[in-house]
Amino acid sequence: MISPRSSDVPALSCRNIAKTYESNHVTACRDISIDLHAGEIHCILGENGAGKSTLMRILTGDQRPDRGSVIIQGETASLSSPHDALKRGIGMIHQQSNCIAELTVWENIILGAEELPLVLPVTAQGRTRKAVDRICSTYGLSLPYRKIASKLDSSGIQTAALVSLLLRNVQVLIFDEPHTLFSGTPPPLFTDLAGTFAREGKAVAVVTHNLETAFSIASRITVLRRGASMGTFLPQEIDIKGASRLMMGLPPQFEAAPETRPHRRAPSRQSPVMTLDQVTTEGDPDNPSVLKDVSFSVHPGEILACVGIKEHGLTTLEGLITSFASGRGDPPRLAGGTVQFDGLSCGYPADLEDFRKAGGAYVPSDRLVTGTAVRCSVTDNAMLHVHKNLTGSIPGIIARDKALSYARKLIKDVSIHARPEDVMLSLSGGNIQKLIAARELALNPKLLIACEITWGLDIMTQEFLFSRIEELRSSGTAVLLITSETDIALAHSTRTAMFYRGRLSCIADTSKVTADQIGDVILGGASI
Amino acid sequence: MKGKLVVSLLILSLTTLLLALLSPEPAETIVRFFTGPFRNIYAFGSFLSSALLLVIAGTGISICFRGGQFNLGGEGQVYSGAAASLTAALLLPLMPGFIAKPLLIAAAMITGFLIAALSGWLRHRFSIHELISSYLTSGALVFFCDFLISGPLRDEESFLIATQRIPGAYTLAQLLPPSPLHSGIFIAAAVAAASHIFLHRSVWGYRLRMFGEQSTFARFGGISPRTYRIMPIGISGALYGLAGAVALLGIHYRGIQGFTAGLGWNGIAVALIAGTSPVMTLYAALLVAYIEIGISSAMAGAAVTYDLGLIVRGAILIVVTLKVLKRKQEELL
Repeated sequence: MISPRSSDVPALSCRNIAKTYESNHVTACRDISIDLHAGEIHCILGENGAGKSTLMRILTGDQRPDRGSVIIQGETASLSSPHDALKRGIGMIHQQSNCIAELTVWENIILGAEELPLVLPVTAQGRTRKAVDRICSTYGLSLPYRKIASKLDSSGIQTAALVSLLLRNVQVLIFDEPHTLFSGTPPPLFTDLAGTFAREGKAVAVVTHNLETAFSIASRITVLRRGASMGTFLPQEIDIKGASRLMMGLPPQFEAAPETRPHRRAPSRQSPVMTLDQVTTEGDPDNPSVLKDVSFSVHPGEILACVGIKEHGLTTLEGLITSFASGRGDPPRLAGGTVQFDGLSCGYPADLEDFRKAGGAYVPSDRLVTGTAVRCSVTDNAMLHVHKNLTGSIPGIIARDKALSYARKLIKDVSIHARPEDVMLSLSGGNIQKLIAARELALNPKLLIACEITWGLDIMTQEFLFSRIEELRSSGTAVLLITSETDIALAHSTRTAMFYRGRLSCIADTSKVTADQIGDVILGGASI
Repeated sequence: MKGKLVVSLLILSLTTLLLALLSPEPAETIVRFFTGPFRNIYAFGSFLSSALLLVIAGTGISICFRGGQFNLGGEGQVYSGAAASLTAALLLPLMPGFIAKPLLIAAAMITGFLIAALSGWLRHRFSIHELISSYLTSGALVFFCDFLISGPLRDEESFLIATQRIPGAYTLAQLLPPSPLHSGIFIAAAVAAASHIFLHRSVWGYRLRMFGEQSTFARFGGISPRTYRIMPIGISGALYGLAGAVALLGIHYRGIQGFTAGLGWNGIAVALIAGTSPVMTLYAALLVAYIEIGISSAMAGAAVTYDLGLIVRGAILIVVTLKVLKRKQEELL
């Protein structure tokens, strides 16, 4: 870790930023400090959910931090909006379109600044147009001014956003997942543009999870993980592998194999509960999230952990096995191979109900939208799977006392402080997850699919959840743990299945692998 | 509860303000407005009979809201329900009242249900928002019902654009003559009680609430999206149809062009004021009915035009939707 390159005042910096979203209790930033100096290209790396976007929103006035301060040119600032940040010379080029789809490119460029009113006198428009043309020729950019913004491709959108920031003479440029090429003839490379801006003395921040891009241009690199900074480095102090290890929460250097882990029983010889045979899902095979030729079985009494980067097939696997997509889209479809669960052929278009009837239980990775109805009571959430069995003497009418006592039972199962009538949202994130787990475990499943079950939870809660899962396992349940957290797999699973770019690279007894070996497989496709 | 009181006061003061500004004799008008429903037995009975229709219509919309749907087709659904009932009453052979009444009511409810359920199905099948489709179908149906009453069913002898009276045996019993209060009040009470039990105690009510609150969570629990895209709006359509039938059998006894107009929008106003509780639906229905009767009393006595009633109705809708919009905005932020 280093101190800033020069002693001069950073163009933009922040100190001890913390932010928790009230709506879902997610802590996006815990304690982040970062400096952006004039003339540097500062790459900010992190996985999805590491807190990159929230941090950038705070730096550009789109969000307010719970704690910590934003400092512009050495002065503490309180940014009220992106517009406010823009007036102080800070601008951001967003990953997605930030422009008004119905307006033309030209209207989008001149929109939103008082000094450039939309209804300009012809002469002023001409002057602005000249300034824009000058900017475009300086950097080799070009834009179809009369085109409607919604017709632009993503590189055109980012180019338009860039031009409009340059027109406002922005001195701190923040790029969120920049496009490789910008619009122009020939199209300028992002890496070249970033270098030019830095030489001109602008501070350039690049938020990305593309390590190659980052390492090819960065003057400094900051790695974020779970809302905290893992350190700021000069490019020569760290390599791609080290950075990716930090992003995944692994130690940057090689470590001795920890031998303190309890030895777990090898998988039982009983016939498997679930078997995937040469499973391939629909989609472009080059897409890392598409599963390719994946085969494995889950046996009674074992915890099989599937580890890897979420986008390298874990999310697809979750959707495929449960036949459930949390968003608007359909769950992934099988293109080849079979998924067998207790005689049931899983996979779209079979449905989650069949899966449950066959003895499956499922803790979804998306706990706030899929796993709970956050504005409903604990009772309403608790009885989702069993409400039809809680009727009293009148058919179709749920007996209130039965519903309440069922909710109380789940609350007691995971010993949390809550009353059946409490609104789910009033519970902490950990308690919400405990209650979801309690609801699914109470089904006494043959197969439990637990996805990202520990995400965002403290150690105590993690241990608690696994003690319950362990009880279930020892009574013969097969557990499929899908997690992007390697340490969780190491600490709790019987076997570990490692995914890389949608392929199952290898399966090993967890007691025989180290964090390092897993890291090599899931980050680089090495084999053990 | 406090919020409801604020909204009620806001509505009442806005109405007062409008009357004061628009009436040539403000004092007289305002006194007539506030004392309207209590001036005599007739006014009081009108007040209750108008409130009971609003309870029926508003309850349906409340259920629809809880299911996460919006039904803007109330005007057409009430009118069509009433028209279905009317057509059956006039064209079917004469029956004893105890058979005819349930039959006519069922005809209205089924008609309302089918019209509204169509919008729910369109939403499920083609992702056409039920807000748009229900509003548009309603618009067309209003003209169709107008045509029925002014064309095939019209009573040529009458000076009004109206049909013949339905047979006397089919009408709901008068409770407070000479006022229009009728035994439909028991239907309204039954609807309010049944909807409460349905929503908060039944298996289907639970699923409907979960689907309305968070559809992904409901799907995760195996609750059928098709059923619960059709059921909430379908129920509101059925209850709108019922309100239409009750208006016909209890108050008007014949079809008059536009005779249920306003009930659809006022049902939405009631549901928006009431929020989620059925008890509040009773309260909101009384409030809206009070204003309606107050306005007509002010119109009858003072030199206030009919348009003022429309202006006040519009103002009420604005106030109550403001509340909802604010909540929506908070959700979005």
